[in-house]
Amino acid sequence: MRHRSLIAAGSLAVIGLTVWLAGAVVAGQAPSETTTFRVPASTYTPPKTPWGDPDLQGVWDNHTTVPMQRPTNLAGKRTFTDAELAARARARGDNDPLCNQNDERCAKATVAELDRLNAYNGFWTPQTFVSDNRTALIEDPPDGRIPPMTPEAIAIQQAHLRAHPATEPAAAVIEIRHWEDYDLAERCIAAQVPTTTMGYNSAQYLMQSPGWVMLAHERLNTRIIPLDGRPHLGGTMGGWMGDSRGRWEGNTLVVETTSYTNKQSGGSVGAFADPGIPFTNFHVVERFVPVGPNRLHYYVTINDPKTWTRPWTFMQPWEKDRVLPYNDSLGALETEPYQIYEYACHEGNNALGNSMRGTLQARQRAAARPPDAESTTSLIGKTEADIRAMYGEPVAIAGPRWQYSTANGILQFFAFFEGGKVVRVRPDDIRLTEVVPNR
Amino acid sequence: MLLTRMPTAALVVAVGLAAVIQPSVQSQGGSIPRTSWDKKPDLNGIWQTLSTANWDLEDHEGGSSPVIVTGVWGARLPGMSVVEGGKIPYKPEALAKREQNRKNALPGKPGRDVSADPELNCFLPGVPRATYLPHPFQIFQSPNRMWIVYQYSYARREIFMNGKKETPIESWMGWSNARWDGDTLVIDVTGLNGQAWFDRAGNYATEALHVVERYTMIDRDHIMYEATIEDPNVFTRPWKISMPLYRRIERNVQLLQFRCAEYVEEFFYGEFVSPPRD
Repeated sequence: MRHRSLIAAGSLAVIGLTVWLAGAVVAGQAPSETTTFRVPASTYTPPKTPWGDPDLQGVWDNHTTVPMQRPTNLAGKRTFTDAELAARARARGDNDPLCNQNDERCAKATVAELDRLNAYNGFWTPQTFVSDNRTALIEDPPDGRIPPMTPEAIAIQQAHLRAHPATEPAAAVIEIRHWEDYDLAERCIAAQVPTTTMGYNSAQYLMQSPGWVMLAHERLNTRIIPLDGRPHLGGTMGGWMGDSRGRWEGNTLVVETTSYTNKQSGGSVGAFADPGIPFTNFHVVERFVPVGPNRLHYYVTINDPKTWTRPWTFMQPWEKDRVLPYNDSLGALETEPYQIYEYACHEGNNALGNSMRGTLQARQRAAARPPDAESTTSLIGKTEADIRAMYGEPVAIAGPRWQYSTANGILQFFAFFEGGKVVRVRPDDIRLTEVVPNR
Repeated sequence: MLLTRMPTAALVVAVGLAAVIQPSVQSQGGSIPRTSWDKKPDLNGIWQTLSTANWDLEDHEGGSSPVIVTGVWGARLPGMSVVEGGKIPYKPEALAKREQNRKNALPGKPGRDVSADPELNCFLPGVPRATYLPHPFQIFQSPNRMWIVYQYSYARREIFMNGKKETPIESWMGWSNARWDGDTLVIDVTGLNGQAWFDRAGNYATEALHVVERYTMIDRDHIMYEATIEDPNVFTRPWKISMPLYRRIERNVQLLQFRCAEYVEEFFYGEFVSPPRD
């Protein structure tokens, strides 16, 4: 601290104090106009760094299954009982992902189940979560629901969704026309700030040095937060992650973030804001409240009167330096402390370009589609004997799925049986003569 | 429209320079900042080189931009070699690969191309290249903990200060184990995936790369940075680069957003855009 202050402190002291007070006014006053919510105080006193700040350093995990908003069928119910939590955990266990590796369940799977094989394999997703008995992350408003959006923001969001329909969760057909049809994280640019639970690799390393806090999210974001009271960058200089300024209020780290980009996001992993909501006017106040040696409560208040009719606050519990189970290369169960690894998202992001190419090709194929009577679509309803008569013995059989080669040598042809008859074919738009008989 | 001219490939032949790794830089004993907790040099701060090594570790002349329409904005900046002895001691066949890299560095047409300079694609820079990209980086140091965060893309490294840890898998930025050698921070970097290049001139290594970095504060605002580079697949002997790091002392200096994945989207995917449906 001494050395840093040699460089920066003298000329900054006055500016710093001014900003500090201004920040306090914004943080304290704006929400009070519409809400009486206050972050609960904590009696826990964390250790101190050598330079006197509360020491919150370590790897903090926030994996949770608690949804941001309280489901409507749980209205009025703030927490689950222990018995209810146990029942929910059991239900999750029954919901194991199908065919995690090459296990025999795949061979017995139905057609509908096999369809789900397109999803990510289950080993990506965590099976243990930071304990939390609540029904929603949102603490304020008390109903656990995000407040209504303003008409202005709804109009902006609708325009975004019209331009990028693939981001609509209800879209029946996902057609990727443009890279902006993908969200921030899929484009490997950033995750939203603040960041809530991501599907996997959701922890972050909190690092402190005199005058600074650095948050290294395992996926994408590295946030660097000065604590010296300097002014915000202003404008949109903060980009997708905004521009953060921090301070200590007792043992609580308070971080204010503004100066976001004026671009719009198609949501993101760990997103707190839905697709198409403009970032520009977000004023975000995060409070990192240590409540025990390995637990903190992460409160976030989002205030943007241009987007929401009132400020709202959610809280996520974080747990430090968790020791997590994993399967080693031989399948044995091991444990290790959570280690942040390199994510290198953009470097391997072939899917984005390939899916855009896929859209181009799909449109070309649709234009050149043969009549159903001449295409593999006409195989639906055929029996196993019919298919054998046409194409011989399948190249491979996986459960109800028969596989043949195709004339172009790249595609494979699959026929799916149920009740002894073909119920589905993939692809369904190549000519019958393009399936290569296996004789 | 990209109008390209390929950079002139100056064939550089590695002459058998004696492998003299000079004794490392010593702190000049003047006043350097020290931490309050262990009295080691306090490397906390924002640092940046002034070298042009990102263009080419070896001697390089100034040159016109490879893209005509960018005029002198894209011009190559001249610089002297940062390699001890001047030349990188390539094996002959590895030198040929470097020349091939140099030809491929800038393909001159749109699209993701892994034979091009990884920087062109906004890929992670690896070590030591992260240090001499034309961007600042910030060192965070606290008791038994250290991180280095680079402004470029999302590059960063956790530096392990507590004994030897083994990497479970190769990565772009490698696996960094550190120790103090007197007042010099020595970072032993392994687990590099060999996909990063050293510069825009095609200098490269493989996954056998082993880098030992030395950070020696020579006064309050300067660190002498040295890296010894070893890869028996490519080089006839270990070799060394060095350059000073300058503290960024501007008021309110901070790392800014340079999320370059966004900046290559048109370049990568522009040709695949489908028109909107009616």
